[in-house]
Amino acid sequence: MTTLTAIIAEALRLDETKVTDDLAIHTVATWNSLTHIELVIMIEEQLQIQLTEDEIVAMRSVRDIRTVLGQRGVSVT
Amino acid sequence: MTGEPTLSGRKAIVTGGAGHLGSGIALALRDQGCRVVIVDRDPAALARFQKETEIETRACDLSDPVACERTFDGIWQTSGPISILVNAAGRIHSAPLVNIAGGAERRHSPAAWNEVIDANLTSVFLATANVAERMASTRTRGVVINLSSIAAEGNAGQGAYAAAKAGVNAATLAWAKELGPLGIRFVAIALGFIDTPSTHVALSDDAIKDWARRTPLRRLGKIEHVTSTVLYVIRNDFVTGKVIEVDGGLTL
Repeated sequence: MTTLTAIIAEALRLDETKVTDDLAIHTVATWNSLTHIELVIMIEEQLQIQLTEDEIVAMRSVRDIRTVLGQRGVSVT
Repeated sequence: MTGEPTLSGRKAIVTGGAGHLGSGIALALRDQGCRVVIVDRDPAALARFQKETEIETRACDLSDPVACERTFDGIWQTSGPISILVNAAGRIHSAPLVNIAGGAERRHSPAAWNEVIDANLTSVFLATANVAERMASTRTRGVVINLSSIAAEGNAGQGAYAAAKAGVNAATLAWAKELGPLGIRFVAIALGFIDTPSTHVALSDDAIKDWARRTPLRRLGKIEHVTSTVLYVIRNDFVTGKVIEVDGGLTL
């Protein structure tokens, strides 16, 4: 099963070792408003959910993403 | 057209829909089963069009961000989600950069420059931003088709119009890259000389004959050539980020 770390790494074109909970939008060059769209799409497709506008806006860091998914009851590693 | 999928159930907005090209496109979409809303700044033309066709209309100055927000929000509320936007609004303008015989007006008017950019480029930006943001928010896969012109390659005597249409082409490509991952496509259709009443207003009969002679196919295009291209772009969902020239070979 694909992990959230793997999804984020692929969407943001990062090595998985770089994907920490503190990683946030605009703290790395590859996580910007454009790649954020790709990240959202990949999370939705891989986890088979549809995120709301508020959730997308709230996902400012890897920790935020885990929080949003946790509130949805989606179990990720 | 046997076997061609219809557009039944799709919803479309056509800006400049009260004009000759826009109304032709709106009618073609309606005939394919689309629910169409046209947006135009001309209330009288809209009223005539609505009476003749029963197509829903909205009056809006497409260069006004506040009016656009109000108009497109209203359309989305009553008719959304919209999956097709055709930006057909715009107007031709001819004026040289320098007119040494122009007396007091020896340079292109800044006011005219701004009006042409507003009518042909800013209107496309505002309509597209309003619709694309709503498409993205609702995960509506769709297509934005921008009517452009071969003037974008630099027609002498049409600097403002050429710049506006070149801007439309460039923005079309940028937006295609930005929103492709969401399944939102962007295509520009660069028109050559199309035989519409507007063309006959803008150009003399001699000028029209001259342009037809210069066109490899030796004739002007018809509105049907434009509508068939619009329908092709809508139906082929693997086409995006392109400027399709419909010009009888004039730019060859």
